[in-house]
Amino acid sequence: MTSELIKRLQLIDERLQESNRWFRLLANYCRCLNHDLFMVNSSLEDECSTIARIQVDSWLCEIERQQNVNSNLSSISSKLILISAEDGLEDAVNRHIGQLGKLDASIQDGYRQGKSNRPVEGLLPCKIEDDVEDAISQIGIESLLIFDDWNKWNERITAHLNLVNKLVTLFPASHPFSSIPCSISILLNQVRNSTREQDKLERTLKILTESGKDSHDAIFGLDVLVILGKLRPIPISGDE
Amino acid sequence: MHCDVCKYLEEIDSDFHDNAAKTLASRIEIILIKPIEKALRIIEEIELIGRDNLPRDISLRWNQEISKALSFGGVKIDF
Repeated sequence: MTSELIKRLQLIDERLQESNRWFRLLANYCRCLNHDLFMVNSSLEDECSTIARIQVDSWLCEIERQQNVNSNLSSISSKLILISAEDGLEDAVNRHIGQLGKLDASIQDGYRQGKSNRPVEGLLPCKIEDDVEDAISQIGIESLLIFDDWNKWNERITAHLNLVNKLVTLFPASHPFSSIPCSISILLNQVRNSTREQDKLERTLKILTESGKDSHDAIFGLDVLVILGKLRPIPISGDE
Repeated sequence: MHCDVCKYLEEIDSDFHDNAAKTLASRIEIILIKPIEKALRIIEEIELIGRDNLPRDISLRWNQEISKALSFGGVKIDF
């Protein structure tokens, strides 16, 4: 009986540690996304990127709350493993085991494999594929690069959007995260439309003002002025 | 075709018709030929930039220019 209990507690502990690693990855990703949105927002000064930043902040808060719960449960489970190994401490075990009940039920139901739809605080609701981890790492590495035109910013926002869209599918509607990645995805789509438009303006301006073409100033002078009026400065790295 | 008409009008050598012919040639130049020339330059630029890469405001402006050239030339196309 005791060995079975210890085995179950060890499984809970493993899942909690795995979830903790993912919460940390997601938190780092949120900080990276928030920084990019801050830079784009400083340049575009639009509502969408402002609201997107607020949503990313909300997500980060929720992740940190989940990390706290995870840390508490992890501490309980590891202590229970130690206590269970010793005889005569059944009262202590009974007192704390209740707190891990939901967690155990969820793991046993195969929630992680998508067989159950019962979100549990502190536990990641699903198994996250390696390609999502790779995409997060890739975005983290690319944040060290300098984006010197709107085309690169457009690609950067598209990479964020693709990743957030993958994350949207991982969290069920009943999970505390669920609506946040959805709204971030919608807002990122709008931000991408703005960066794409800036990219188009930049390309068109470059072609219209290319040297070696005659009488462009006369024919497209007004168009160039319209473009210059709409074109926003390229976001540059800076501290928040 | 319009350029040929202009050339013909400018070559009219008649004291009575001279002013009217030159005014008409000038109007054809301003109302028809110039907008068509501009529309052709715009089409060249659209081909260069790519239809899908045109900024929204520029696309609207250029659509109006092409539409104007066509309607002055007697062609009506709904964009």
